[in-house]
Amino acid sequence: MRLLLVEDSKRLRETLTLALKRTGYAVDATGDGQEGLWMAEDNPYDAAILDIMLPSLDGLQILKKLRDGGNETPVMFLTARDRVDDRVLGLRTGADDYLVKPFALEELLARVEVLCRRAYQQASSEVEVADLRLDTAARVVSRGERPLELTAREFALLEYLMLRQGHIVSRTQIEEHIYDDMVSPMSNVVDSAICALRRKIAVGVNPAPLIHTRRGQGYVLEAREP
Amino acid sequence: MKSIRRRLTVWLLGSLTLLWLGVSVGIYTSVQHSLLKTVDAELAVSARTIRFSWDQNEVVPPDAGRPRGRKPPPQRLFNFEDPASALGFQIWTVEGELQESSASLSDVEMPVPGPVSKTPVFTTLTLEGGERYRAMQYRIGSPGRGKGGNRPGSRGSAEGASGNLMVSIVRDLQSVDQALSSLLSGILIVGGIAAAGGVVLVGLSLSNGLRPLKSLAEQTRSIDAENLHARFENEEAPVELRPVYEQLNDLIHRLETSFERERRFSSDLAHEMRTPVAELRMLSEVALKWPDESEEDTHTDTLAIANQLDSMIENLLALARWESGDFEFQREPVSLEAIVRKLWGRFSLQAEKKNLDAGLKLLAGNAVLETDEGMFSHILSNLLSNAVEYTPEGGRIRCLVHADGMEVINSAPDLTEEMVTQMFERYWRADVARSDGVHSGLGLSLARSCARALGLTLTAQLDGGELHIQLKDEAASSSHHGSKEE
Repeated sequence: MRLLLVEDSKRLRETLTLALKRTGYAVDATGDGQEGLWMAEDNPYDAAILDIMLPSLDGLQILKKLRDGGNETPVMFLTARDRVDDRVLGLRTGADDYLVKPFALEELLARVEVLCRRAYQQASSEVEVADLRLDTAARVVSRGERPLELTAREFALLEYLMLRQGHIVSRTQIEEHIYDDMVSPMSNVVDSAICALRRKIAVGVNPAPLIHTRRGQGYVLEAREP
Repeated sequence: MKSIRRRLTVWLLGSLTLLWLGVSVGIYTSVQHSLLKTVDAELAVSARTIRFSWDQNEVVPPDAGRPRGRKPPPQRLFNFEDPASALGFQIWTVEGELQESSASLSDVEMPVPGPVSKTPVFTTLTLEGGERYRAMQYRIGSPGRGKGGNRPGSRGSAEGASGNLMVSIVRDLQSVDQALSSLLSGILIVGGIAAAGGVVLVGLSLSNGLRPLKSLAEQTRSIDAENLHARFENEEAPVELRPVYEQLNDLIHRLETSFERERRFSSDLAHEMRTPVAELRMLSEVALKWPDESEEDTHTDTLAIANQLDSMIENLLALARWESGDFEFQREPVSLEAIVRKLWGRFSLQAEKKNLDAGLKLLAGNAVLETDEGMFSHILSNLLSNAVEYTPEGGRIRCLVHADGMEVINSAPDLTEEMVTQMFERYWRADVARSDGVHSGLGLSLARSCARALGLTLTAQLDGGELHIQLKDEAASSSHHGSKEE
């Protein structure tokens, strides 16, 4: 899942980015409102976290411009403005969530997770494909009865594929949603990651393959009849 | 408890009672005086009658118990002969021996008149039995029987001139006393009714008169900290209370402004504290969640946040102290040129790094201000720090020394008029300062509070893309002249 974080406090921005990345999200962060708007318009983020009081363009204006432009990326406001009027204004402008500073990291992660699920119309935190089960809240994966050990990036990749099960997911889409700006578009990082993920989920005796390659198109995760 | 109503009631009722007593005493005395004058006039008429009868040797009738062989009394003396009559007379020798007495006084023992002359004296006699009489007493000559003899009131002889008999004509005052008694009863009854009516009327009048005060009290009760936008309705207020209403409305306006400022300040403070606290919390939670990957930067950041919060609290305390006036200044002559040179040293390196064109211009020779050097330095340091901080790379800073203060000018291409009007508000910060976590937004507000405390004015204006901040002592006289530029 790829997130946009627009927060003017440098320390908070960096710490949050670190926490989100370690949780498995790809994060693009900026402290400037105008830059945040450009990033949101140019990239297909799964969710955006915006501060309200920002240099050059405030969070409310960013959100309004996004919504006016037809961008439906789920947005959460992260702000020190705690008055009811502020919350109401934020939500009415089109925000999907509103979190007041200071906040608990776990609460932020849970809310971000909900926002990401909402992007894929997934109400429950559990996703199942055949005997492969992924819990986005507990951040655990199992196949049959066996729990699987995945890195944060692998977990994010599997989560993305499972949330879009049955749909072809292109390499570009994977790059856009799982990797942030730091990944070179020319690298074969996606293929390598898919390969590693296939190995990790292929547990048990004669397991059925779930990640299938569509040549020239991308990958699709689905259970197929033997 | 002191009560205007109670005090007014006591005063009004007391005044009305005193007024009533005065009027009553006046009426009573006046009527009494009038009645006695009437009685006195009656006595004077009787005196003339007796004198005439005396001259005619008609006094005293033989049936009065002292037969003197005189002819029966004429009709005009009947009033004295009737035992039921209120009128009577008695005649004594100067030695006090009763010579003659009218039949109406046959059973009455009148006191012997004191020494009297021929000029009548009117007096009121009270007998042992309590009966009161009005008496007209005077001296006459002894009864000379004949035209050449002495006659009462005769002025024809030496004996008559001095007189050897004393006449006392009296009138019973019973009817007068009854009239006065009736008058007194009337006064008391009317007074009692008036008193009862007075209490009711005074009560009603006070209730009516004090209604505006009651209304004022009710309106005052309805105003609290949440309701300071309300104002006293003084359209219907009496003229006497209008200044009170106006003062109260002014007071509430000031309170509202003050409350609003404090609310905004509290809200701003909470807002400003939230971000560093959120940073601190995130750093701690991330360090706890991924302890193995905790970096040294985390500790550096934590310390920086602690310093920022500490600085914010120190600034707030200083602001509160200076705004409350609870600060003692040590005024001394301060050379403006010397202080600018001293302070500029702190910022020169930073200015060089940003390639700023900085200069000092002395417009008033050796300008000296009588002020607190420490606090003045704080203000100027803040102004210079801001100038260096916010002037863009390659920009210009000028520090002008006037006879009555300082002026700091710096390039500010991004600043708008609106931003200049807001820059002295607490927590206002230029956009570029927001994300660094160093500026609290209290500097200029603090500087202005310090300036006010020193009796200086700190103002800002935008002119041709340059910000001019002036720190002036309006009262200072420009005694220094000359100009040189470095």
